Amino acid sequence: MADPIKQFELVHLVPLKIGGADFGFTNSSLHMFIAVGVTAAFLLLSTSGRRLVPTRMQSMAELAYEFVAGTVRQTTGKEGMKFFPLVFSLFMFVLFGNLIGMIPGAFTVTSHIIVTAALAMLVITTVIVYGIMKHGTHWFALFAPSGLPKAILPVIVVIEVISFLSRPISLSLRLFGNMTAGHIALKVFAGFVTAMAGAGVLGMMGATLPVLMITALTALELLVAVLQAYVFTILTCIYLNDALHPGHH
Amino acid sequence: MTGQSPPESDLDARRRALESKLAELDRDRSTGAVPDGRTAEEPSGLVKLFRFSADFVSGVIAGAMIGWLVDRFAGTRPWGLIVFLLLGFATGIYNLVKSAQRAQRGG
Repeated sequence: MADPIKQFELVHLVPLKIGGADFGFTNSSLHMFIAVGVTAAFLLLSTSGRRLVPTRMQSMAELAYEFVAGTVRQTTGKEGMKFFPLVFSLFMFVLFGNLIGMIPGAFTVTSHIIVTAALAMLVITTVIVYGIMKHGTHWFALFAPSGLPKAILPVIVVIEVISFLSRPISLSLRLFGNMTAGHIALKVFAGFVTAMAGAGVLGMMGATLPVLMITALTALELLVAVLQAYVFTILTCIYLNDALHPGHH
Repeated sequence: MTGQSPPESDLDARRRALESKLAELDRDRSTGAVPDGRTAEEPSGLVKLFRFSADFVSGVIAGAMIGWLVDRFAGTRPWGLIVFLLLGFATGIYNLVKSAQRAQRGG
């Protein structure tokens, strides 16, 4: 059976080493560029008309905008809209990274934890830097919930700090886990098809079952691809909310 | 455009109607409701499951990582890992409770 992990292998398209560190251009880099390119092309082309009554493409772009803008406003309030460019870029990148990964033969950028972790670190760094910039040392009150007895405060502060540090982990783990698991499941069932089809006529007939399964899984994976982009976005908003309004959460 | 323009009072009424409609849209915007009346949808059970499990696991992993780093730099092996792993489990549960509360409030 074909190796279900092989699809995640990094292949160097343009090897490049600078001072012992690997700066090579891989298939992952290529697909990131494709995701960014497709996003930019989609948004530029669809909004170039700027009609009052939108065309189908323009309506899709407006839907994406309204959706993310609504999420940002709902979770962080009006002042959260200054983070809209960041959140929208993250949403579009994750969404197109996931969706392009669904094309057979394409590489799924978000199936590597280093990619999702980098995105999560970007979010959490923004939260810390902006939080301290805006609120100064008051921002650290985030770690000490008010109205607690003094006796258990040290324990809660330690737990709050670990909880805060666990956020980028959960943010990256969730996206990576969903994408990787889904693609492995698809590959395993696809492997069944070839294995069964090789076993005579009866096997060929039996092989239709995993094909049906793959069809259903592909539909599910498309749902997961969009859903995980949404989850990533809404959690980003929830974390940004801490930078804007520490204290009440 | 045809030469006939509607009387001034008619235009005024239309402008007022449009303004009130815009104000309503603006109110919807600030509360975050999507213009056509939908709000962000309630996540399905599967999404919640993944969200909660990741919340728990990440707490444990963060605890383990901090413990390992403390041991490495303070030379307290294995106590840092033991203590912070346990705290990590506590954090996992704490994360879960917080997410569950947030989910119950709707969102």
